[in-house]
Amino acid sequence: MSQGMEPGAAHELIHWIAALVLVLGGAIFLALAAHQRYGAGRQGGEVRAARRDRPTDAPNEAVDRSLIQIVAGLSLGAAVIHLAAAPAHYAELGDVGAGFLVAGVFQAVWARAVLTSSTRRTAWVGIVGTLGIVAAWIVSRSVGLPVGAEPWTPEAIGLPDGASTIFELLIVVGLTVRLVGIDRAAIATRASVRSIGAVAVIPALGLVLLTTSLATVAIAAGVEHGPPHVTPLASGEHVTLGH
Amino acid sequence: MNNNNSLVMGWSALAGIVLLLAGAVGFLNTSLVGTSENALLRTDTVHNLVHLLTGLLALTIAFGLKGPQQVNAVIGFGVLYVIIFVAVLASPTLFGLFSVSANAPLHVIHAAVAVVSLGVGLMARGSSTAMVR
Repeated sequence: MSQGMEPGAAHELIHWIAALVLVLGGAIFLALAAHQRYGAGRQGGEVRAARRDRPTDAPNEAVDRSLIQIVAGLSLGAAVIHLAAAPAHYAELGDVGAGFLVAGVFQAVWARAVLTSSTRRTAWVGIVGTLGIVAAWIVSRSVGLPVGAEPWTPEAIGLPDGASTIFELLIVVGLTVRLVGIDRAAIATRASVRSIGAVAVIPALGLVLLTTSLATVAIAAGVEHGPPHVTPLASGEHVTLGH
Repeated sequence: MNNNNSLVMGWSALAGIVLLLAGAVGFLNTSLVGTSENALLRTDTVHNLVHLLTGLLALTIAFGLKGPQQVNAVIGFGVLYVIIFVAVLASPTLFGLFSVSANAPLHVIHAAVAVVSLGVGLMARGSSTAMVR
């Protein structure tokens, strides 16, 4: 690489050159966007009209649908986690382990149902079914299940089950908000809620996607029954996922 | 499509391709990206997965959405990367999930994706509506 430079310093330099290139590239995009919006071709009145009618003031129906899309995404994420954990639990718990398969299929089917038919009945089915799954999780983490290698022994809380339970609690909160009508009232009266609702889907579903992926990796690594096993490496600053 | 929407699409496509490549190349474990001590961007399987998935998300925004939906989505993508940036900055191993600590260039990548997505998206707000009028 570089003849007259320490390898570490050369790497540090390359790191920062890469970072600089990225920042400059982003700055060019930002400059072009600013020019398009505020540049000479735009008149003041046009800009004001643009601000007044910006896309986040989207039709209420579109914003209204954001909550349903997020709730469906949460249910799908929980379904993937349950289905990923099903084979190992079926082998460990026998027929009781099939509950993971039932829970996963229910959550996947319900996610599809709520997207196509967002009725009060669908919402109630979601709340009751999801609370049933949460109740089973609470039993397994407090008093333990009556089957398995160690009956009536509480299991440790791990990333996958913790994540899916958080998803499920958020589903219940979201559906309750929808049933009570809090979201629709806020969407109708507050522009800030419409703005948040319009942009919330991507970060919410992105986080669900990432968390579900990490949980699935944890299941594949065999660490679903507890926090990731942390192993300091030689440098003392690195850890690893898995046993 | 107006120019600001083209910029939103262009930036989403660029971010998507870069993230997708970083994630895919990371699995190859080369001297540029991977778990090697001397890699330019030190990553691991979980981090590669994050880059792959968010890259696919950015490409979906670029080529699967249009108009106000696309603009709002790129703002949302910026918010997502703000969360990722803050989380990885607070814990470079993401609370033990990454086998390799995120280094400075990765923080810069996360920050740049967040800032540029938010900036391009927010500046594109309204432009499409104004042009339609």
